[in-house]
Amino acid sequence: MTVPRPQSQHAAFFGLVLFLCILLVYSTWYPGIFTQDERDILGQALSGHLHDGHSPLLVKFWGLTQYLKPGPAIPYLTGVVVAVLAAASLLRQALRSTFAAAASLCCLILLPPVCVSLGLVTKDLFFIGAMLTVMLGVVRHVTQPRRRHLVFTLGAALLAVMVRIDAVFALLPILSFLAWQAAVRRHPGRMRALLLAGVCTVSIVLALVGVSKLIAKYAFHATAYHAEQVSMLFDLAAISVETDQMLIPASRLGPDGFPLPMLRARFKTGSADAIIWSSDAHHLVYAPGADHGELHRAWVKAIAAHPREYLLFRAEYAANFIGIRNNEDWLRAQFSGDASMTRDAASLWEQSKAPLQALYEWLSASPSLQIVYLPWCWLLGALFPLLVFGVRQVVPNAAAQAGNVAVLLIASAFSYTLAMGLVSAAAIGRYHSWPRMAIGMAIVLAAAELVRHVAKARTAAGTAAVQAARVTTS
Amino acid sequence: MNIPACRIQAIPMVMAGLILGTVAFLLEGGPFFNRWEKGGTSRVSSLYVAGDDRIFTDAGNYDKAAHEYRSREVEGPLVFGPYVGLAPGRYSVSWVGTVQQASQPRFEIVSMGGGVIAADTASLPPSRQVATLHNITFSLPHAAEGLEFRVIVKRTDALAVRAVELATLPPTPGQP
Repeated sequence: MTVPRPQSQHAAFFGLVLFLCILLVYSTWYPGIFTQDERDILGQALSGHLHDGHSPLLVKFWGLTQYLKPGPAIPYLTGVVVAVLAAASLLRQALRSTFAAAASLCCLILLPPVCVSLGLVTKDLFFIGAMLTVMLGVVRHVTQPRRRHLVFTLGAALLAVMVRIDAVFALLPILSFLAWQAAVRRHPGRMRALLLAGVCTVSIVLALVGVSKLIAKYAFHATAYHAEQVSMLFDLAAISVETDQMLIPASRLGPDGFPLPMLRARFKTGSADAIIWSSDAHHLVYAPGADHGELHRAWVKAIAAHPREYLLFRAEYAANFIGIRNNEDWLRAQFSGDASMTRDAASLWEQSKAPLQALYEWLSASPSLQIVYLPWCWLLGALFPLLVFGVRQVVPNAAAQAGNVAVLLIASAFSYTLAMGLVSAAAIGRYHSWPRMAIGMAIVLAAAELVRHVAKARTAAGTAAVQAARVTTS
Repeated sequence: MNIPACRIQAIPMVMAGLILGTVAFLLEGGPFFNRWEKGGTSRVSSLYVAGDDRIFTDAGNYDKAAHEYRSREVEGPLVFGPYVGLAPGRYSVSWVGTVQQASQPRFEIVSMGGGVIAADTASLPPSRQVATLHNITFSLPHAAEGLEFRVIVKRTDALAVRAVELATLPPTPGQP
C-alpha cells in the first residue's frame, strides 16, 4: 500500500519542474529572436509615436521595460514566463496526476516546433501566452461556472486581440464553445441554442475588436496604420498577374512605376515582401497616409469581377502557408535575427548558440528531418490526439477534461491556420506559433492519457493474475 | 468539461476528416495559381531588372545609379537567375543593355537538373544606347523548374545588362 504524498510536496515538485523549464527555454534562446517588427516596436516605444500596425499594448510594455534594462531581455523573460506558466497550469488542470503534468510539460517544451516558437521575442510569443490563458479560463469556467471565471476568460481574450488582431480567428472556436454551452443550459432546443450561440459569438468577437481599437486610439493614442493594405495589395497583384491587366490603383505603383511584366517577375505566391519591400525603387506603395478608400474600392471591384482568380490565388497561398510547394527557411523556423536587420544587431545571435538551439537548427537544415517544422506535418500531427480521444477503444472513458481541452486547442489551431491562409500575406513560421503550441499541447495530453490507460490496463491485468493465482493456490 | 460522450467522439472524428481533407486538397489540387495562364492565347511577359533580387551577377558589378550589371574583366556569369518554373510551351528571352566595346558573350537558357536548353554566342558591336543585346526562342515539351537566363562573359568582354525579358509565345501551327 502506498502512502499518498502531501499536496504541498506535489506543488513543490511541479513548481521545481516549471522553474527548470522556464530556465531551459530562456537560457536556450536568450535574448530572444526578434524581427524587423520588434525593432519598429522598440523605435515606437522610445519615440512615443505609436500606430496600431503593431500592438500598442506591447509597444507601451516594451517602453516601460527599457527603463530597467535596454533591449529585449525583460520582454522576452515576461513572454517566456507567461507562456510556460500558462501551459503548465493548463496541463495541471487537464491531467489528474502531478507527475503526468510535469512530464507532459517537459515533453511539450522540447517538441522542436514548440521550442523554436518559444524562442521568439515577437508578439507571437505573447499571443501564445494570452491564448493559453484564455484556455485556462475556459477550463475553469466550464468545470466551475463562475462569473469571475468568465470575466477572466474574456479579459484574456481581449489581451490576445490587443496583441494580435487576428487572434479572433483562434478565439472563434473557443468562444463558440463557451456560447454554445451557455445557450444549451438556457434553451434546450438545439436549433435555438445554436442560433443564440452564433449571435453571441459574433457579438463577442465584434466587441473584442471594437474595444481593442478604442483602447489603442484613446488610451494609447495610436494612429491608424491600416495593416490590411498589405493583403489588399497582395490580392490585387495576384489578380492582375493572373488576368494580365493592371488592377492596382496608379497611386500605389510608386514614383518609378511598376509595370505589369515587372510585377509578374517579382510576384511570389508565398509572400508579398518582394513587391512591397523590394530592395530597389520599384515597389507597391504601402503607407498609412495613402488613399485607403481608393485601394479598398479597387480590391472589392477586382474580387467581384474575378472571384475565380482570387479564390485560386488564395488556395495557392494557403498551400504555401502550410508548407505545400513551399519549403523556405523562414517558414520552417527562425534561428537568427531578421535578414533585413543591420549586421551589428544580427550579430547578437551569431556570438554563441546554446546546445538545444544548435540541435534544432541542425534538425531544421536536415533534408530528411526538417519535415517536422512544416505546418502541414504539424496539422497532420493533430490526428493523433483526435484519434486517441475520438475512438472509444483507444482510451475508454477518456478523461473528458484532457480530451475536450485537446479538441478545443486543435479546433483553435485549425481555424487560425485556415483563416490566416485566407487573409495574411507572408508564409512565415512565426505565424504558426500558436497552432504549434496548441497542437503540441494536444499531442502531449493525448500521450499522457494513453500512457495512463496502458499503465492502468497492465495493473488491472496484473491484479487479475494475482487473484487467479491465489484462487488456484487456495 | 461536461459534454455528452457521443459528442466527444463525433467532434474529433469530424475534425480529423476536415484536417485530412484540407491537406489532401491543397496537396493534390494545386498548383492553383498560374502566372502564365494567358500565355496560350496572347503574349504575356515578365521583366527582370538588375538589382531586383531575381537576377544576379557574379562576374560583374551592380551599378546602382544606372540599374545595371556591368562586366569587370572577369570570366564567368555576368547575369544568372531568376530560377523560374515554366509550364510546357514556347518562350522567348531577351537581354537588354549596352555594349562598351566589341564583345562575344554566350547567352544560355539553363534548367536546374536538365542542363542547357538553348545557347548562343553573339558578336556584339559597341553601342551606348540601351537596346536588346540578344534574343533566344525556345520550346519546353515538359514543365521545367529553376530556369536561368545566363550571360557568360570573357575577360575581354565589356558590356552591361539592365534587364531580362521573358515572354510567352503562341504555339507554332501544327503543335499542341
